[in-house]
Amino acid sequence: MTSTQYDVVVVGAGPSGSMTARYAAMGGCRTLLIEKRQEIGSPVRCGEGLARHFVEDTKLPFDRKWVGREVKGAKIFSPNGTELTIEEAHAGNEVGIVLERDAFDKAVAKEAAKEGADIWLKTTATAVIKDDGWVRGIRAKRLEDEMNIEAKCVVAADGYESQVGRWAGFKTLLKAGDITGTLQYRLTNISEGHDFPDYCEFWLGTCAPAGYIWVFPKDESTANVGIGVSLDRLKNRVDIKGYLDRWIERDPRMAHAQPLDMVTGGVSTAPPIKKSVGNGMALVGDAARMIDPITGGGIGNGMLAGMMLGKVLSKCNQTGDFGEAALMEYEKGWRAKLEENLYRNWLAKNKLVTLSDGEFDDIIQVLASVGVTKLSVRAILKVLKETRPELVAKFAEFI
Amino acid sequence: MPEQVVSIRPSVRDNGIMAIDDMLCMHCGACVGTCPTNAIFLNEVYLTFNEDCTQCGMCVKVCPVGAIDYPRGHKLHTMK
Repeated sequence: MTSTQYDVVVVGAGPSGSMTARYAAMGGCRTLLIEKRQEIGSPVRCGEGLARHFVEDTKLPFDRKWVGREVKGAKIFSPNGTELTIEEAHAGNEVGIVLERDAFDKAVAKEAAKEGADIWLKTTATAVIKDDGWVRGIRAKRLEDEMNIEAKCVVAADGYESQVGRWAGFKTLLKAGDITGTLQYRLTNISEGHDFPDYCEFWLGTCAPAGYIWVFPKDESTANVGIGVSLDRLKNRVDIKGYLDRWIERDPRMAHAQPLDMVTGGVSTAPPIKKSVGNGMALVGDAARMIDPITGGGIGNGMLAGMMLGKVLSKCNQTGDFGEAALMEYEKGWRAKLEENLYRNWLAKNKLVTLSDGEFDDIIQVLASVGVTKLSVRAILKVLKETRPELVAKFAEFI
Repeated sequence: MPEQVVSIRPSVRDNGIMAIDDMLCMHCGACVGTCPTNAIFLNEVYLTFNEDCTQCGMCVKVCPVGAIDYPRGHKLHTMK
């Protein structure tokens, strides 16, 4: 069996993995980025919403190629159709740009390549090489060649599946209540209504039990229309598709809509993992369960964490120490930036999933009439507490 | 027209552990990340179940397109 050596090997060329590879290579690590698919970014498995500030935060050169549409903000719909409009500046982490993910992922990978990272496609990690409490590399299959890739640090950026982390002994298991199954159509020939296509829409209630339906516009008549449903609310095979198809049937704008593509996937809505680094190993992005448990968005968080990890790896490379203690700087960094919000949103999600359609109607009604300046759990609860304290009794501990 | 159309699903691989319809599978990995015993392996072409599977059915429910089912003969088998 052949064997290759690198300083850092990153498994998975999504935004988190590519961003890690970019900053690691920039800092002088010999970096290899592997991707099991034949094309980076395709097939797309994403609703494609991203807030603008993440692009600036990670210093990704802006390119119109990966912008599907820029929206004015978000609209949240309660089960009875009450509409709450929030302008972009306050709309949170998934609203601003609706991406072309296939082009976007390639753009991030391009930056990694520009810094000197090697990229291998059609390369699947099949095992983790462990030795004496250290991860020493991975076993991989590249086209028909099986090989060992020895590395001082293995970065698991393999997304929701999070296999590499599990092989290395990290606890990335999810409970049924923290798993969301998703299905999305890209629908075209959508007609006007609810200011389409200027806002990203979120539809709440029993149309998507313990989840929501989203409509993210891509152009004048096209949008990503998708659903996420919590696994613990699913009873039978193909339940998810049934929920989405029924909703589309009922929306008059979608009466003549036709699909252009279909996307599926799993999303974690879990609290952040307890441990994301080990000796010669780190987890980043969806693989480290960095997805926002309320919105299900993970591109921005993943890229931010990837940037931090890449920088820490560069430091480690200078001292030659990729041990758990040295990598702890990355873990501390991402926790400082993301953990409180992720954990708070996970707790809030667990309450939100208990709300009835009537309660959603009441809450959205109040927010729409009073107005809310910031789309955060805390800001919303504050408004509710001042106006209708009985509505937020379930959330008392958050205020 | 024949009275009864016999449906066949040549795309179903049923290894007695679980049944997978390769024509439906989108290779999205929702089942892989969901599996509590890490019994599913996916290489972007097909997915396989190994004997660590406990037939808990989480993958059956989470699969957005219904490509996974209990094996033929199992009381919860629903693929026709």
